[in-house]
Amino acid sequence: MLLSVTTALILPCISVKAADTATPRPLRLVMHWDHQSQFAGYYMALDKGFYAEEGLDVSIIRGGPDVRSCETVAEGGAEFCVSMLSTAIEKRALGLPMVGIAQVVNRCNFQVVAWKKPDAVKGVVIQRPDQLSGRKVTVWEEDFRLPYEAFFESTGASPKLVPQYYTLSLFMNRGVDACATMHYNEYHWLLQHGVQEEDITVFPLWQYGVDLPEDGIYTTEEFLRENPALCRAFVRATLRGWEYARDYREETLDSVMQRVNEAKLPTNRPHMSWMLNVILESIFPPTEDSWTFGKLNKRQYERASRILLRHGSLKSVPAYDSFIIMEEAADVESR
Amino acid sequence: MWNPAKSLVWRLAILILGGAGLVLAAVLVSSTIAQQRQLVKQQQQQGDSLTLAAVNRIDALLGRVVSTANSVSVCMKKGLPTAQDAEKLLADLMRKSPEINGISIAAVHGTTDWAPGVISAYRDNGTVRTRVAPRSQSHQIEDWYYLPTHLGRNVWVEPYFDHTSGRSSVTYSVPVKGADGTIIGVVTCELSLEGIREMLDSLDLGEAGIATLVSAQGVYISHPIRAFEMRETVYSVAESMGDVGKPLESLIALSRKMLSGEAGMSLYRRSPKDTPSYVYYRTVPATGWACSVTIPEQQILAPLRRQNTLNLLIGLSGMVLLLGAALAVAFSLTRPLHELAGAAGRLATGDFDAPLPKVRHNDEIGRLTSSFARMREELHSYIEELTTTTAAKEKIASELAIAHQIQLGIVPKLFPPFPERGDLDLFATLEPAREVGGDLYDFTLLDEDHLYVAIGDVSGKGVPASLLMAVGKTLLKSTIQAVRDPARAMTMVNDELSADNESCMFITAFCGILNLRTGQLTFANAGHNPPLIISQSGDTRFLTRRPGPALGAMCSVRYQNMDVELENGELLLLYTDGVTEAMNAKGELFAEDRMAAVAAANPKANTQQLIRTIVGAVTAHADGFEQSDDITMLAVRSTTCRAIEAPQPPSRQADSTIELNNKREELNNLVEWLEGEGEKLGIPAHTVMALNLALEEWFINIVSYAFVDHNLHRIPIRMWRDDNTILIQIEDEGQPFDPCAQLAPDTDAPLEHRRIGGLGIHFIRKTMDLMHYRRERNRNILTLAKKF
Repeated sequence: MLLSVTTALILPCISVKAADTATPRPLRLVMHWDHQSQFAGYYMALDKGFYAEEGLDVSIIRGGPDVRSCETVAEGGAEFCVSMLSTAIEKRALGLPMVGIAQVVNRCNFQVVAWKKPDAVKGVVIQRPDQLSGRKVTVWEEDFRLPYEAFFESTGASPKLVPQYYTLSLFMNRGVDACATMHYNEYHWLLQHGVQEEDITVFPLWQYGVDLPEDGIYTTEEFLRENPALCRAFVRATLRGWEYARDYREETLDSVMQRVNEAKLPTNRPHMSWMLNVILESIFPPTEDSWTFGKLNKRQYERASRILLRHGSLKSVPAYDSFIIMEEAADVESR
Repeated sequence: MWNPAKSLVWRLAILILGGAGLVLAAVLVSSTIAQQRQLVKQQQQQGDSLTLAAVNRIDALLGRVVSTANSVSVCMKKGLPTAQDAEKLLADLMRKSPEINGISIAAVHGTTDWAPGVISAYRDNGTVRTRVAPRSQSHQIEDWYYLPTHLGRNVWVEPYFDHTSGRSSVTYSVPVKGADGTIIGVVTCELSLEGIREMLDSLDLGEAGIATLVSAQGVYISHPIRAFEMRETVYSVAESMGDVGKPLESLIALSRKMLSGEAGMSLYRRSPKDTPSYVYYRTVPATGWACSVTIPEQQILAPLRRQNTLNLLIGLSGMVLLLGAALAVAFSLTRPLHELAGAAGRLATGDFDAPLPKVRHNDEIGRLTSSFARMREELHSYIEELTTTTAAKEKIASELAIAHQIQLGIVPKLFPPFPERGDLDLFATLEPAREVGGDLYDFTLLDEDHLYVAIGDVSGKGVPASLLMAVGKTLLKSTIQAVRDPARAMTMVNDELSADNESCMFITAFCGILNLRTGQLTFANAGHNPPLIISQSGDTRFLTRRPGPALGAMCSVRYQNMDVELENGELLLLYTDGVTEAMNAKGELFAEDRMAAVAAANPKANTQQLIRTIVGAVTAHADGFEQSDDITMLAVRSTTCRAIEAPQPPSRQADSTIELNNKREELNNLVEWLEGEGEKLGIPAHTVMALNLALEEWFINIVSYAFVDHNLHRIPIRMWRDDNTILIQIEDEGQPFDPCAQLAPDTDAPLEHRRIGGLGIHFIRKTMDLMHYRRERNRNILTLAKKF
């Protein structure tokens, strides 16, 4: 709270300085999924004029199944993107010149949800991950698959993995016994579609050591090198947007729902409200030693890297110092 | 203050209105309940059949979709040689089934000979077109392909909203299995949900009734709020309606019931305070969707409410009319009563002229009015009579009061009357009867030795009696003061009273003069009760000497003086017949005997005590019986006038004697004898001188007045000396004359008015230590004593 107040007091001075420089260059920020509360902070930074106050002319590009945010930035389609840390590491390892300039979501929201009683006849009650062995479980493809592989390996479960796409219809039709969910999204979707909490068992991945930080802001090495001040201003404004989202949730939800409605997405306000509350819990540290708001430290990075190296197909990961450049977040922290 | 609650009019009105209102309310309530039951029952049947009809229509549509997909599947299994064959097949089926929106065949890679991946037939503005999509992996992630291939069975994919067509649709997917059981493709058949939506919208559910269709997962497929469709689920709506973190339990419970596959009806309230709605629901068998019809109870009961409102209005208008009628009747009944009440109120204040209501009908009120009028007349005449009587009574009463005042005002009432006279004890009382009797008493000291006492009783009552009493009393007193002779006074008063006595009233009276020195009572009685004398020892005697007639009864009566000697301490009691004739309720008199007995029992009592005792005895005797006559008594007792016993000359021969003739010349002999004998007996000169003067005076008195003839009479004088007392006795044969009874002369009066002899006797009394008179053997005997 003190942080946000001081930020609000100091920022106008900086914005005056930034505005003097020149006509602002248009900047594009690409999401890695459809509009939803997961990106509320960016919307608020834009809608409340925090980017403008920094002298930034930012536009937000929606993500989705057809958008790969890191590639978009690497190919010059945008200056900044939101991406999962695991995804960004992989892309960088594959040669994309990504650098992380802020770590927004510091907690892992990946879960496995299983039917508590998967068999109609047999009286098996799923209570531990290893009970999923031999059972069909849907998990996401590609970069989202990694955390689950790590989870199953570390828990000694060997389920039959079935690819999971945009819906949980197979799980809902009891075609599989478990599925992958995000705590802030699919888990609540299940509850909104008639699944009762007492009928399912939830395995949050972070409780099993798979504690991968999630959304961060990335740009290219080149852009960061040429526009360090601009990047710092962008991160400042973004984090301010998140603080605003935390403090004014209903107004934030209005902004989210406006975008959701414009995109005609089949979702509803209670779901977006759930998502906003859960994502905010993953962004702002519950205790001071949990993590640092907006920042990824080396220890967190190296732990995530180890998980990816052990369970993924990656042979090496980028060095922290060259990949995570978070002075901007440090600015925020120091204030 | 007029109190509405106590007014007959309002009570009547309230009673009638209350009764009618209760009946009206009972009718309204009972009919409402009955109609409400009827309406709800009707609505239930209607809701049930509506839902059933809707579900059947939906099911029929879905059934066609299923059969179309199945037939394509069968064709595919049999083998479709070319893509063109497939296109033709799909287009034909589409034309046969206008409700179907699109049909697709997706071949699993490598299982057919076709190059393309998906062959589709679709409608474009009513025209059936076909499309062949190149082989790609993209459809594999779509539910219509993904679900049947993974589930290995026919499946209804969740409805979705197609942004390109702007319509919501539902897809039925059938996995096509080859001879070896492997899936060689997927056939889908798509149904636009617009028709179902329109059908549900067109249901006649009234203003507020709604029909909804939700998918098996609770997603709204059709809802009057279009924004809900495909976005909101029953659970998300419950979340929105509930509190933060606490979805609306009632809606969730209802939804789970609806989606459980049963058909039924629920009376749903969002919260216990909300008005309820009837929800009829039924499941679409093919898909597990739930169709529901919701009718608010208010809408069901709206016609009833309207009817009730109308009934109530009619009822109220009726009540108002009834109130008017009730008030009219009540007023017509109570107006005469009100006027009567007013008249009665004015009557109470003495107004006998207050108008009475007209008697219109001979009903209860008419009779009451007549009775009231009669009562008023009688009351009026009675009051007039009463007024007259009262006036008369008041007059009498005032006369009585005057009489009382006269009577009581005229007799002396201050007791003790002579406080300086320790030797004289006198008390009198007059207790007037209610009707004044006209009793009187009187007393006065004529001089220091003579007391005048009188008592009287006027015949008749009232003012005339009291007036006569006043006259009689005054006359007696003034006369006795002039003549000092009871008999003479009585005679004079009688003449006065009887002279012009037209009313023939008379006074019985007793009057006497008591010589306080000698105890001799000289009295005259005019027909009065005999006084009573009570001795110290308790002996009593009545002065029953023949009395004269009452004063005023007849003229020219001569009353005689009578004498009686009262012993020292004897008490004289005068009374009227009010005492002795006091009656009790039985008619018994108190009587003289009883009075005498009471007096005898208290010989030592003083006059006041005695009179009080007798009055007490009389009162006790009467015992509350009202007396018709005054009770009047006067008691007197003289104690000191005879402190020295009448001197008895020593029995021995006189020390000296002389006999003189009744000649003035003998005076020298008397003086010579007295001086000579005085010297002999050793009497001091100044004593001789005093004796001399007294003897001279008495001797001249005898010579001058005692003898009416001119004969020579002997006057013997004797003298004794006893120690230092000289006793002298003088006798004469003259007419009786008691010097002791003579009043002291008025020394202040002019000389010519003084009575003859008065001064001389006064002189003797002053100089002698004792003067005693008695009459024996027709002789006056005067005894003088002088101490030296």
